[in-house]
Amino acid sequence: MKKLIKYFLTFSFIFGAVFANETVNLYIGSNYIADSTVNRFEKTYKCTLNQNFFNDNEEMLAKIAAGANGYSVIVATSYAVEELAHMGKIKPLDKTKLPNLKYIDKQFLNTPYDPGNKYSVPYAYTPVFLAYNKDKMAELGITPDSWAVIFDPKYLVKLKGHVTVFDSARNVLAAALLYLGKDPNTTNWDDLKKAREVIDRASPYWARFDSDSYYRGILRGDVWIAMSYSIDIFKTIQDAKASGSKIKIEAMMQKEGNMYELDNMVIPVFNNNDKLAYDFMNTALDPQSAYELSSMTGSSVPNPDAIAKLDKNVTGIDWIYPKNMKKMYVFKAYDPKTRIMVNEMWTEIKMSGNCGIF
Amino acid sequence: MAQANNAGKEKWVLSLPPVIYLIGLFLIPTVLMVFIAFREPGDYGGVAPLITHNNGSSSLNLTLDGFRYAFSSSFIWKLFLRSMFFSILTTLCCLLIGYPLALLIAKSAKKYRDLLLLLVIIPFWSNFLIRVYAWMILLGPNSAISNVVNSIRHLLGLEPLDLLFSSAAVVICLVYINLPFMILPLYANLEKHDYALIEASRDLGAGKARSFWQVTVPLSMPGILAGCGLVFIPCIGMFVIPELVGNNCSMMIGNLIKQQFLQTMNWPLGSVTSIVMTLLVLSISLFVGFLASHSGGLKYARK
Repeated sequence: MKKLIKYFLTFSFIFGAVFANETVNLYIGSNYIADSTVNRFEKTYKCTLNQNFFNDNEEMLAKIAAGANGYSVIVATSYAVEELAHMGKIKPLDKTKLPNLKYIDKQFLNTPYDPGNKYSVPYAYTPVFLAYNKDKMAELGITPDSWAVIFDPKYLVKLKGHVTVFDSARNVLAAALLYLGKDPNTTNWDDLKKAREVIDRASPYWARFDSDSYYRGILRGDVWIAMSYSIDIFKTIQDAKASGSKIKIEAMMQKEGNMYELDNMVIPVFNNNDKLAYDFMNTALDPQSAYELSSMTGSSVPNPDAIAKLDKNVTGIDWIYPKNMKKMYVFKAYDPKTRIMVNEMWTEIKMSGNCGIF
Repeated sequence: MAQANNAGKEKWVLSLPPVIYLIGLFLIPTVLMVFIAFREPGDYGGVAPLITHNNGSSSLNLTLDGFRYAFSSSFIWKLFLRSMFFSILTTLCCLLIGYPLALLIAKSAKKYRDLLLLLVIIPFWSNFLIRVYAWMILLGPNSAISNVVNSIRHLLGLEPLDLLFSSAAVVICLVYINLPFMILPLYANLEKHDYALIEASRDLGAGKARSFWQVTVPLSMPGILAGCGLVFIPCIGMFVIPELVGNNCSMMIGNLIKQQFLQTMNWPLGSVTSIVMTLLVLSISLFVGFLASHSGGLKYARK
């Protein structure tokens, strides 16, 4: 579905570009900005906002690295910001043009991947955790409060064929490393090998690598436990209620710690209308926009004024607004050599599986 | 003389667009791919600079690492074998389903033929992706197909089966998407058959089955080969269908190539895999061509 929407938007992007005077071309994951925010921005600054979607950061990085241009603002995850900066594809930001940066919670600034926020300002974040079918877990007597549930064969024998993990080297490796009690951003090859052993031992029990449609599997009932994004689960729980589904979906954080994908706004070097790009960033940093984003998508926003306005039913959810941020980790970029080796390893894990030829 | 010259020129002008097309979209990319295969991977996709200067000494960055990796890792060959298996299976299924249908259309009354042919072509009117998404609904765990399959399995005392996200789903979608490419060349061939030949074989005492196997099938060999080629070759490089309806045990070589360019950003290894795949498809085509030129039916068909 995402792909279809993407094609449709590419079309509207082409036509939009022909007719509008001033445009901001946003490169962002799908369903990641509220329509009301878009409308307000377009009205205030008398311009057109085009959204171009990517499925994951790797796809975005590969396209930008290969020379894709024409974007005014990119919303990229932590490590991707670092890689874009290494590539020399993004501009240092002029903080004097970003007065609304004052609304952002200090703990999300000065991040390990962009010290001093030279290139990026935080947009929103998405915790990664285990979501599950409540009744199934109760029936099997499993409490998914540890990553062991998806890595330890002791639990997996009961769950065979009903577990999904992301199709993402970084996320699955980080979960395995957390399970082993290691640094999720390690580049120590011994640790990474141990993580691979854990994954190879567990993967025959997994149904598939899925970051796009696992939540539909949970809703259908064939996926009992899944590595999940907060925004997907937020929406799926709403959908389950709306459709009167009997399946009760719950989620929880893992005691070893969780990753969160902190997404940031950056301005690519090829952008030629900085004023409008800064206007967009200020709009997105505004508590009203953050409030709209969080209440619409269940994204977590680093914006205390927005959180204060939000429904307690949302801010009270531990997997959207984690109480213990000390156990939450962001991704740092790998050096190019480690990245290629890890990705090669991931391809082997994913494509060879433990499933013979057919 | 002047006329002959003109005809030569005309030929040249007429063949210009396809020649430009082939040079621009086949030859140049293929040559590029071969060059990239021997380079070092760049830090962020692309390739590392050809020559690096280090303390006054320059070194040439050419490598066989991509080939070494490709030939030493068993999983790449597993993917090749699996792609071959899926493609052969798909081609056979398409032939088994497509041949009777093409024969039926070719033998039906003239006034219905166009309508029947139109029915074969209609699926092309909607986008390929949409048709695969439709199969995701048809094969889903709560679909009628799944219910029928699983109630039969239940009667036999077998575990229920997930149809979606399986190798079976991949082959079903491959067959569905490629079927028209089998039917159309077969129909084009079968429609031209001279019915007098069948009558002659019947007069000579052959039964229905025998005249089908000894007259119709050999005569339709060119159609069968064209159809099989049109189905097999796109199948082997497919990556969208395994990604949408497959699981991690049904990935094909196309997925690996896509992965190398879009995720791993290791262009040289992606190029090596593409080259190996191209050579594989080429050698299979040559082999089939060789078989065809030595099979009796084709000789008769050509005469």
